[in-house]
Amino acid sequence: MKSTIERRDFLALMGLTGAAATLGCNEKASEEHWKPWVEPVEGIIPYTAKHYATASRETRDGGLMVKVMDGRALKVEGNANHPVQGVGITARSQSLIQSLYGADRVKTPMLKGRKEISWNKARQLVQEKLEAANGKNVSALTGTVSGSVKDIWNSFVGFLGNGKHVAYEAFSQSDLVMACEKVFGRNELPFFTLEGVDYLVSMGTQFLETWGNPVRQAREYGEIRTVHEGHRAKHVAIEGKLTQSGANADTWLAAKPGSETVIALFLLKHVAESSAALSASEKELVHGLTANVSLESAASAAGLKAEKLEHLAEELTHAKTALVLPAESLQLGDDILHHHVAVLLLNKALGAVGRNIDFSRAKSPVEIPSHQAVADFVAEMANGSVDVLIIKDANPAYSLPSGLNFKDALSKVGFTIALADSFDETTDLADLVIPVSHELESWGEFASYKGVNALQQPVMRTRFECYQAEDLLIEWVNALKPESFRDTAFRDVLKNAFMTRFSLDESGWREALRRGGIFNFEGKGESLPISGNLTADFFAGYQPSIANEMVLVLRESTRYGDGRFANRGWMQELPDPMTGVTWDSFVEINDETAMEKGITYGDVLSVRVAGGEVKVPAMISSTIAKNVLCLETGQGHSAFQAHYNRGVNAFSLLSAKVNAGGLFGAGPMAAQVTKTTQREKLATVHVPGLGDRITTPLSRTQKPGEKMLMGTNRDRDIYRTIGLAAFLDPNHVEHGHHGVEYPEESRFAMHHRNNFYPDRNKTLVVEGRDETFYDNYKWEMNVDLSKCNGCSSCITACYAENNLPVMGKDQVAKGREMGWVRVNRYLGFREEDGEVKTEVAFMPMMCQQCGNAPCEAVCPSLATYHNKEGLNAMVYNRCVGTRYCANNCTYKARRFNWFDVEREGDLNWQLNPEVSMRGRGVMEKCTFCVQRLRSAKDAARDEGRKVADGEVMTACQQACPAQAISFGNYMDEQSKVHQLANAKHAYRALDNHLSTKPGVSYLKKITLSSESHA
Amino acid sequence: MKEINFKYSEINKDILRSLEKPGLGWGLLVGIAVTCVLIGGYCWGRQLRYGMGLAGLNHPVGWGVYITDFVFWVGIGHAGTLISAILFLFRARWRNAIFRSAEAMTIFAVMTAGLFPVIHVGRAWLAWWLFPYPNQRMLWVNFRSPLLWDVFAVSTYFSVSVLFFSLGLVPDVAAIRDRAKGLRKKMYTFLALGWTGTTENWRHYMAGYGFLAALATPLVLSVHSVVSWDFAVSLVPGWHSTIFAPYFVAGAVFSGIAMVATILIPYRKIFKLEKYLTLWHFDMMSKLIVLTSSIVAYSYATEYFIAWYGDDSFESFIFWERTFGHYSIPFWAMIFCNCIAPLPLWFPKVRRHLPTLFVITIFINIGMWFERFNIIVSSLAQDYDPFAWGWYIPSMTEMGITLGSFGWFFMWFFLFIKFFPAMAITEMKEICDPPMKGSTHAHTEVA
Repeated sequence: MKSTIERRDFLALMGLTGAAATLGCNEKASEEHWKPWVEPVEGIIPYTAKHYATASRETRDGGLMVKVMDGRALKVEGNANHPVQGVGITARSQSLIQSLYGADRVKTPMLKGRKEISWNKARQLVQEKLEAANGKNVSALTGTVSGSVKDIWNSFVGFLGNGKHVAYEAFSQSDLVMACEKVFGRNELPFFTLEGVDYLVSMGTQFLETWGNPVRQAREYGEIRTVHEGHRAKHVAIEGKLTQSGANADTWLAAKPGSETVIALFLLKHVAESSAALSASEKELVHGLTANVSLESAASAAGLKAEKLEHLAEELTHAKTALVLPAESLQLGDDILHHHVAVLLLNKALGAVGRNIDFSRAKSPVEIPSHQAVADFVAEMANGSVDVLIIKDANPAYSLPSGLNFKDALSKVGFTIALADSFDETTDLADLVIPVSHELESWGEFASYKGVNALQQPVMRTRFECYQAEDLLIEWVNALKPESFRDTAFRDVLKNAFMTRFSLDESGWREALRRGGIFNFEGKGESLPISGNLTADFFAGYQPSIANEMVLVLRESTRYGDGRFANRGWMQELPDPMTGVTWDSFVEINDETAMEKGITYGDVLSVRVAGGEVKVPAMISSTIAKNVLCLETGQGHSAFQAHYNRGVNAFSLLSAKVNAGGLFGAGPMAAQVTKTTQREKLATVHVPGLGDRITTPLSRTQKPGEKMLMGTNRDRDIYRTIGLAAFLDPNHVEHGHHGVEYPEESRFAMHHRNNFYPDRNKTLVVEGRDETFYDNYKWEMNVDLSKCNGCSSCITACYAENNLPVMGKDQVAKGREMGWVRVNRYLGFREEDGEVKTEVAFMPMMCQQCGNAPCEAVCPSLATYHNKEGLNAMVYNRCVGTRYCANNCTYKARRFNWFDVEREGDLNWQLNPEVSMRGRGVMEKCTFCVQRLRSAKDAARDEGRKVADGEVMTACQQACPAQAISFGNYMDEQSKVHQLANAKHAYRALDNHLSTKPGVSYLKKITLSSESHA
Repeated sequence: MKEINFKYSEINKDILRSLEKPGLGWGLLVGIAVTCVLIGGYCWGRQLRYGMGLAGLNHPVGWGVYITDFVFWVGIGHAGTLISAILFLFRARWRNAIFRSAEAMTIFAVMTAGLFPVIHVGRAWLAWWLFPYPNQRMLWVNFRSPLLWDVFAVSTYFSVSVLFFSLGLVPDVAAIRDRAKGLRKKMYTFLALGWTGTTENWRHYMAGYGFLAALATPLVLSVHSVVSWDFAVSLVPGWHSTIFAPYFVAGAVFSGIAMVATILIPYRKIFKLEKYLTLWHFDMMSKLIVLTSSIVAYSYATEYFIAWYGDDSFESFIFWERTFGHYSIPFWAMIFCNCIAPLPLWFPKVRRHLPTLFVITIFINIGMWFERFNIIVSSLAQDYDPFAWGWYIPSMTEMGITLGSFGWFFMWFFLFIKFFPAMAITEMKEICDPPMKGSTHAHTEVA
């Protein structure tokens, strides 16, 4: 039979359809600037990652390293070259990548009401408005900008008229700068370091989360918390709400909010008496300043026992290298300046100035905007004297106190242009929104502490038509006044400025870009005398504002910060380290207070303070003092995608008055709490009040609110501590590596005498598989519980590296979060001087890669098995989804794909091509970043060697700011992980009980108490 | 009480009456059952489309209602083979009237149970990977996994039950064949396997039947033992227990007999079979219920004793928590239904009062469902790491599929009673007085 279509015709037809299809695609291609690599790009090997150093305003004092593959930015890591940042990174810095691809990106110019317009029309509109306003008031409101970026903005407003450039950040340390001026006559922000500190006092300072340089501080904190020459730093937290930083302290003094200054003054008085760091005249000054202070008055103001405070003062006086970290502005409101002065003096008396508070590495006040400027500017706007306002990188509509009426003021502005990469509350108020490149697509620079000059460079091309904001400024000015800017590209402006400033040649510039900036960060450690500005009557009229009733304190959220992180799924789904709540605003309330008031988890409370009222669900907690409420910032948006607009905006409660520290503060606010009839289920990652106890009662049920004391029950062999004395005593036998003996109160001692089970202490690393089972490698991990501070950065790192989906509130509430690593937070209770004391323990828990894995034996399809490198490998394609492995996992480290998760926006672009995606119905879990192991082994094999110790890092290890995680090859006896796993205080969770032979060892937390906690 | 109070000549007529043209009531019942199946099918379809997330399962509770249903239905499937095989070997005369329906129930229950492993896995379309079939990819299954043992145990049990059932049907089917017409005739002819009723036929039949009974007997014990090992072999506190196999088998017989009684009481009424299914039968079943209830209660007590005596922290905790903790309501429901509700059956009057017995058996069915729910859910919810604990609440999807499983089971049962004699004609004849000599007409007719 003859075919009705000839071969030639067929080919012609195919060619035609192909061409038609291509034509159809053309339009889209031109829209997005994506081109296939028909011809390979020089220097880029497909599917091979490159790392580019850059920086971001979100991590101002730090530096980032961005992993880029095939032109796509994939993961944000810490820049190890950066002296402040180092290799670690906080959870929220990592989420930067989500805003790059997020669904809230502005993709086209828009008029108010999100009406899309073309770029031409937008340009025309801008030119019209600027021309009209030329010579009048064209102002700019931005986030903090420095160096040549700042110059551009200043020149821009300067060229166009008499407007001004105002920098605004919701969180700023200008209060501390003012205090430094007062005390030392230095108008700058000193660099705080914890190096070598042996006694640390924090007063609500979130120094491991948000305050100062959390990554560096966490690293230093981890270091001082490990035993060196028989000593370990002691940490005392004085705070009404136990922060994650304070939770790591050895002692928690639950002082009344607002009493921080009084306590600092008392300590100052006590320490100054015998201080060697103060000169005679300084001593006299301090004596005069603290004349009215007494132990009794301080103790009663703080609601603490006098002995405790005295004991603290004694210890502080005798400490060799002590440091006191001040409270934050949100905690104290108007008292903040007095507080900072007192704490700086205290540190001076302790000899910490110069040693741990370093003015030789100080940060210029230019980089630390106070809120006075923005308050004045809003007043100016309200006058109607601003003709054109350009807003970038600032969200005043969200984060300014509601009393300031920013919205009304903005309506008086002639024309508002928002240069934005993402929508927020402020862009929604702007008359015109112009999409600009994201931070990861832009040039810039950040001056920080002296000697730290970080460069920002684009790590990828923009995906749609948008430009760097500064390029647009240059273009607009040059259009009106030609030749105003000589360089028409901001990149050249930056490059020339930078090269001139540091006298670099082209190769020096390239090297600076490669390293992430120019760093010359050496402290000289000069101590400063107390300046003459401070007179003895400074505290004369000082009255601390301490409410005796219920108070509400605000705190900067670890996850949402000033709100800019709230539309990132990773941050919403990251559990609050202290309460485990995800996705919502909540008010933390003391368990006993809640019980008195009949409040339970999730009851919506109406909290009324002077600044307004909020309705928030209650989270009952044992880590907050009685009669204290705590609300964190960052939620309560209205301009993000619907599912990110949740909770309440804590900034709305701030006072519109700029306080003595130059900031909008609140301080402890007397609050009236009433229970409403509504309830809102909070999505926590654990069963609050039950599943987070160290001493989970093992033989009886716990009643709500009941606090079972440690030592009254047998423990679970999961989290363990060791007393410092026991750790140091060479004769002390720790049953660490292979587990504890059965406790003496064991019901039938003869069971243990006549035990017919083999002695597990004598078994091999893996039963039935001695070391010869493994090839060259047996990958193991070690987590030092003395270093881990619970920051949860590892969780986000794992999300980024391993393509973990964000499930949303409903799913988290059902217990379906997908994190491969979680940070267990346990509470322990101890009776001390007739009071029940709360202790907090953090413990990262991930797949333990057991040698005798319970999961492997029960999988019917062999989808999980023990490989020759000690990994509990997972074959996703073979998984049928019986979930038997997850049931049998004694660490509950396995995660099941309940749904196929759609990623919003362009977040699919973030997915790591080195990690396979898992569809619905498949089990998944941590495999020690097996893709990284694979790359490292490939690289080593090419060079004919074995992978060296420390050469390969897991994502969690890399991100860990505290460097609590070690990883390596157990078969190499010299490797760090081998050494640590065989340390005296090492143990493997549940191994004693179940003989699972985990591949993860933990180092017991070294406590200062005399007893070990098995 | 007279145990046999029917006449030889009535048997065919009375029993085959249930095969007559169905009435409205039957249609309605089948309609309800099919509706339930459709609801369950819809729920399952959605689950296949969107994912297991539609069930209430979570981390840490990876098994819930589906596995509860699976164990429940496997348990129901126990009574049939027990009655037909074990009681056959023991020559218990009271079995003859009830074994056919019990056996049919077994098959339908195992058919229902068999759905659940498929419904419950995350990728149901790949569930066939659990069978060790030869393939060029050299993929093999994990013979260490109790789930695989389950696959073998349940499929073996199902095959043997079907064989045993269809073999037992042969003489009866032949009797129907001789009366049937059209398509039905063809079907019955096929199922009768050429039965002619000769002595040779009977000799082979009896030998084969006895042989299969002997083969099925150990399976009664093995299948639920293996099912129990799904739990017992794991490390989960509350599952990890050596008592599970006998405890599960007793529980299975308990629930199975209860289900037989639940079904037969209305069946007897509707088809007016009071002559054949006498109070004596129910009395005997009740005794078996009392026995197995006692074993189950004893097992519960033993578990608690071992939890205390074994002095394992995690185990003692989970047993305390099961009793007084978050899942205490299902626990006490189970204790009431399984240990307390059957107690009145110690009294002969109650055993012979069918409405009461009916209510008690319903309680037992509920109680045994809750027993599995308790074991599965409360143990998983609170195991080793307290921070990973979590609560499980069944979702509408799971409830819909559970409803569907009941619909599926009864749909088959209703169809069965219209197509096959729900009592074994031949065996009923065996136990009643033979007809007078000379009137052997009946024999030739049947055989």
